Amino acid sequence: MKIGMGAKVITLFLIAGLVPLTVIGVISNNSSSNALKQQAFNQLVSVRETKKKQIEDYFSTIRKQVRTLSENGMIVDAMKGFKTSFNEVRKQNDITDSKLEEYRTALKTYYTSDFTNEYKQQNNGQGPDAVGYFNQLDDDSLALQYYYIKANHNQLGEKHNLDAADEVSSYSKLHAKYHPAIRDFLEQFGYYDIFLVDPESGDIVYSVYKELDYTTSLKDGPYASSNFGEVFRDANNSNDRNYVKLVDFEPYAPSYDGAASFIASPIFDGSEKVGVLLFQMPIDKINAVMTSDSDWNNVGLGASGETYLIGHDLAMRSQSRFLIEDKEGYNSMMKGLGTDQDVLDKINAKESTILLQKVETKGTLAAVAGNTNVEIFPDYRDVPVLSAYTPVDIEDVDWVIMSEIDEEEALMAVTALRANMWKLAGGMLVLIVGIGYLVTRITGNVTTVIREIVERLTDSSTEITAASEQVSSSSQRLAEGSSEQASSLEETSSTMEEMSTMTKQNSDNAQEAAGLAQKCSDSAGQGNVAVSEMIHSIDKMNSTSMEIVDSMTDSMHDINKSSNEIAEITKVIDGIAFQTNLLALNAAVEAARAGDHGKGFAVVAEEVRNLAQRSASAAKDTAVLITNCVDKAGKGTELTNRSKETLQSLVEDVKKSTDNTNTSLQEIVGNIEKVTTLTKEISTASVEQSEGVTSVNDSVQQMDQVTQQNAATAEEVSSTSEEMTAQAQTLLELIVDLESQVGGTRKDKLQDGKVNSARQEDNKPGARKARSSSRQLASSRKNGEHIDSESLIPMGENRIIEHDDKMSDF
Amino acid sequence: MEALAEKKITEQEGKYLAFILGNEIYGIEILRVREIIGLMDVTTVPQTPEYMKGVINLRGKVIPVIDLRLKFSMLEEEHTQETCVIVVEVNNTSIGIIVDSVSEVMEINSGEIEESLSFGQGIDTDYIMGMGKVEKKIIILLDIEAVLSSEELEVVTQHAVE
Repeated sequence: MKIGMGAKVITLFLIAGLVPLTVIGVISNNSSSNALKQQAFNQLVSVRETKKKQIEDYFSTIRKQVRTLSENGMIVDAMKGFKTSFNEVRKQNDITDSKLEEYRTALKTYYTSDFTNEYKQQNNGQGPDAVGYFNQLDDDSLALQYYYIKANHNQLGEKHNLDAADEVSSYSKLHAKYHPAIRDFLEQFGYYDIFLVDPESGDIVYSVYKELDYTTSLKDGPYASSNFGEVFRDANNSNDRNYVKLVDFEPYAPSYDGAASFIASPIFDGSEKVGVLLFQMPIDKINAVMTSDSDWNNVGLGASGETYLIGHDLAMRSQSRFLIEDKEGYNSMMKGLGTDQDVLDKINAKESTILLQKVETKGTLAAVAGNTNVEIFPDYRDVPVLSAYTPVDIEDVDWVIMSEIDEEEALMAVTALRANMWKLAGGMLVLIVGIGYLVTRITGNVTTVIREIVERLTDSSTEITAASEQVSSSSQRLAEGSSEQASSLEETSSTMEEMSTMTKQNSDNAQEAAGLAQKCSDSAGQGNVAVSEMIHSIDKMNSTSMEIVDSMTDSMHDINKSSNEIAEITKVIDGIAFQTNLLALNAAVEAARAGDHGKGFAVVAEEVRNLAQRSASAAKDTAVLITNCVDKAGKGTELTNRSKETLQSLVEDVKKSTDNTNTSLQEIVGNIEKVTTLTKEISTASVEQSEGVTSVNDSVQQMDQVTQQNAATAEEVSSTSEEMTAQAQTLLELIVDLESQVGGTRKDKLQDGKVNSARQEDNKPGARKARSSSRQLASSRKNGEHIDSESLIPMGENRIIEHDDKMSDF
Repeated sequence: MEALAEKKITEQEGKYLAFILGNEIYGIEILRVREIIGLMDVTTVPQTPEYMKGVINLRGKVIPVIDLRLKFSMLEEEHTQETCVIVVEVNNTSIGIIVDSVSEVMEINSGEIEESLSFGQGIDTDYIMGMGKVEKKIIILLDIEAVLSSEELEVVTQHAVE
């Protein structure tokens, strides 16, 4: 799975990366290439046009120069002068034949050594027909050439520095006069040579550089058949002073058969043609223009671009950059292309491709045919180039200009772009693969991580389930607690009501008490009055009683007296009886002693004794009665006395108690007042108590509200916990899902989760029960019922204690 | 009336003089009794046992008087009108014993007399001759001689003489 995923990922990444990349790359590459190509083309075209203009302007300038110079007074004079003095030179110098021969010999050496050496050097060892040229010299040429070339101490190529030759002719003077100026002109404008030619003889009567053609005739001289002669003849034939003729490059012998081009214009003095002015075209200058002084790079031709002129013969008319820059490379390249070694040798010798390098390409052919275009084709080096070509508008010559730059370089940007694109593509590829790989690894890690996370999630969800359980139970407990609180609030409330009732009662009672106190006070007042009356009555009673008692006492006394007397008498009788008894006993004793004799005596004694006993008993009875009487009388007296005393004490007591009563009544009144005051205080207190009870009631109500809220919250929490459980369950399922996707085997944990959730189900009724009970309580409160909370939530015995603690917190 | 009869009645039956002492009825042989008199002033004699109350003058004769209550270690009661002195004759000596009251002279048959009981070793019941049952009442028959022992008698007699 891992590998598969990896391959998948990498492939996907590749596709995802490369497809757009390719599309973008291709599209952008194409458009960029096109743009760049276009830009390159445009640039090349602009270079071409610039160069074309430049060269055209240059040539135009040269034409103007030759034309104007030909009208220059100095030149006219010089022409005339030279022409005339030219023929007098031998004469004026007294050049004898022998001298001439000297000169001839000497000059010949110049031809055969100096010139030939240079010629050979420039022609790859090939020798010139120096002698042939030499032999065609006429005497004037010989003399002048001797003076101005051979006798010229200046080096070959520097012969123009001679202002005055070692000769005395007027020519010399003229030469000394005009040569510096003309030379200066030449040097300033870079011409290869400037000639003044006799229109009749065709003699080059003056030239700046003293080369082999100096003083020769262009009509019939050694070089008359050259293009030089041709252009002279054309100019000579014209009668238009403004006539200018340019002739194309051709190998020119005096220039060591190097390419030479001439421009000519007739010199008129007034209406008389006095000569022809000719310039030998400034190849260097032309090259300089075409090659921008060999600074191709800075003119937008880069490292491989060049602009060159091609003639009608498809040979170059300006230098090839490649020869200038890398001769050897050029050689090998050209050799490789099958160029004639001979041609190459010549090119190398002359260090110039002009007239030597044939450029027969699609472009040149088309340009020579007169077309203007920008194309890509292989150039003369067989290197594909971007070529902008067009015919050059230079009068008298049929040249075309080729601006070329190696396709490679031109489209370097494009190539570079493509290369970059490829590199980029390659880099992207690598990057993508790398990323793909990384992603694979990461996802691998991620998978592991995910697995871990899944595990942890499972654990977490299990914990969540447990936590939600706890929450559920907590909420249940909260609900229960709320219910308990509600019930205790109920109780409190009821207690409060009772208290309130009691307070009311207290108040009422206090009121009643006040009323009663008042009544009491009244009664006390009444009591006082009654007491006074009672005292009166008692006094009356007392006095009456006293009287009765006194009389009674008197009677008692009498009775007593009598009784006492009777008692006395009885006593006497009793004494006698006793004595008699004793006597009888004694008699009995004596009788007993006497024995038989005394039996009769004993009987008598016995009888006497009986009598005595009777008397005694009668006396006793009497005594008893009397005693009783006396006692009773005494008692009566006592009683009377006592009653008297009692009465008196009673009266006193009554009086005392009356006083006491009075005092008490006063006290009562005072107390009643106190009671009244206290009652009022009680009333006030009751009111306050009532208020307190009310406020407590309010608090209780608030608490009840809070409790209800708590219950509601507990409900919410409970339901939320249910949700949570459900969510946890869902989560578990998702985890299972994820697990199966990621690939794990932790189903066992999930089972635990399910078990937990199953347990949760059991708890739900409890929460519901708590909720319902709290609801019940809440609703009942609203109904105002006094519910026995015991019925809703069974309270344990300890609850009361707990309750008390909750109450005591109140 | 003087009666100095020296007769020892060994037989217990006969006539007894019943007197009351406390709650009990005692009996003394009639022959021992000389005289019964009412209580009169007793002249106390110092340094005599407590039960010896003193002496009385009976028609010229000085007779020592004993409180029988004290002799029997009973609480002394206040003398009432019925308190009598029984003059008994023991060993030719007359001693008066104070009793609460005199009841009668009664004849007790031997059948009505029970022998004195023994109440144990510690208790001296020599002075009790026996118990008489008369009319559902028990009369403790005293042996007056035993009651008044000879030593005491001597003391008493001496005092009497002096």
